Amino acid sequence: MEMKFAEMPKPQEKIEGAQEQPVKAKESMEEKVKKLELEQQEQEKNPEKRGENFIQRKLSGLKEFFKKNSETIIISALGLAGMASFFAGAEVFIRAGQTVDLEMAKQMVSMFGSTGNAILTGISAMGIGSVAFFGPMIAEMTSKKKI
Amino acid sequence: MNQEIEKQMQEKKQKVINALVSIGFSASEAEKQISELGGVITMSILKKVIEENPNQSLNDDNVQEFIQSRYTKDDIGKIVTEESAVVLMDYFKEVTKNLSEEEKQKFFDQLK
Repeated sequence: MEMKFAEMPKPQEKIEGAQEQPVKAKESMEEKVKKLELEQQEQEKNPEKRGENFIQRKLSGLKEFFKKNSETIIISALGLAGMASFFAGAEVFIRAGQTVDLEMAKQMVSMFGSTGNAILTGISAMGIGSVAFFGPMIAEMTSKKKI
Repeated sequence: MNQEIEKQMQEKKQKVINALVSIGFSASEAEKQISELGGVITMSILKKVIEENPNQSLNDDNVQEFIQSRYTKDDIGKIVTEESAVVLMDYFKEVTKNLSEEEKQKFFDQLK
């Protein structure tokens, strides 16, 4: 089938279109990179974001560890909450200078478990560290000033 | 006794929330991150136990009993304290990284 000259695609148009697109894409990439850099800079300044990024990095590393050791241990979310209670309970009694026996530890676990409050469980695990280490930690952080 | 401990925990949590809010956190985000840190600490403790006992087959159902049979109460306390201290120290260093010395001092004063 013959094609008339007027119907044929104009080479010039094709070339122009092909040239414009990569330029636009390049600009767009540069903009995206700049935007990302700005976002990262903002995140660096923002303590809240820094905290969240820290937690995500830690969780990611720990999950990777458990994944690699999946034949050894499987920890579900439920198990994790229970464990936090267990450690917290054990430690609270140690700190209180009381005799820790299995029965008391069980009571502690059931106490924390019964709240069903993930936040309380979280702070329970967190609080035990703070009891012993906030003092020395603060001293270390502020030691320059003291000297 | 239980109520007293629960009260202490709530007070401690509020103290940390207030400190985080003072450096720019929203209260809800502070509460969320504290909860998440609890998970990070617990996982770190379990990681330590697994590393120390590589040939054990542990799961949700037997890990507590295993720890109780293998470790003394003091040993458990030591692992818990050490692991939670490492996580908390790194976390607080991270969130206060860009603060001035004065702001850092003010922040840590609130945690005492």
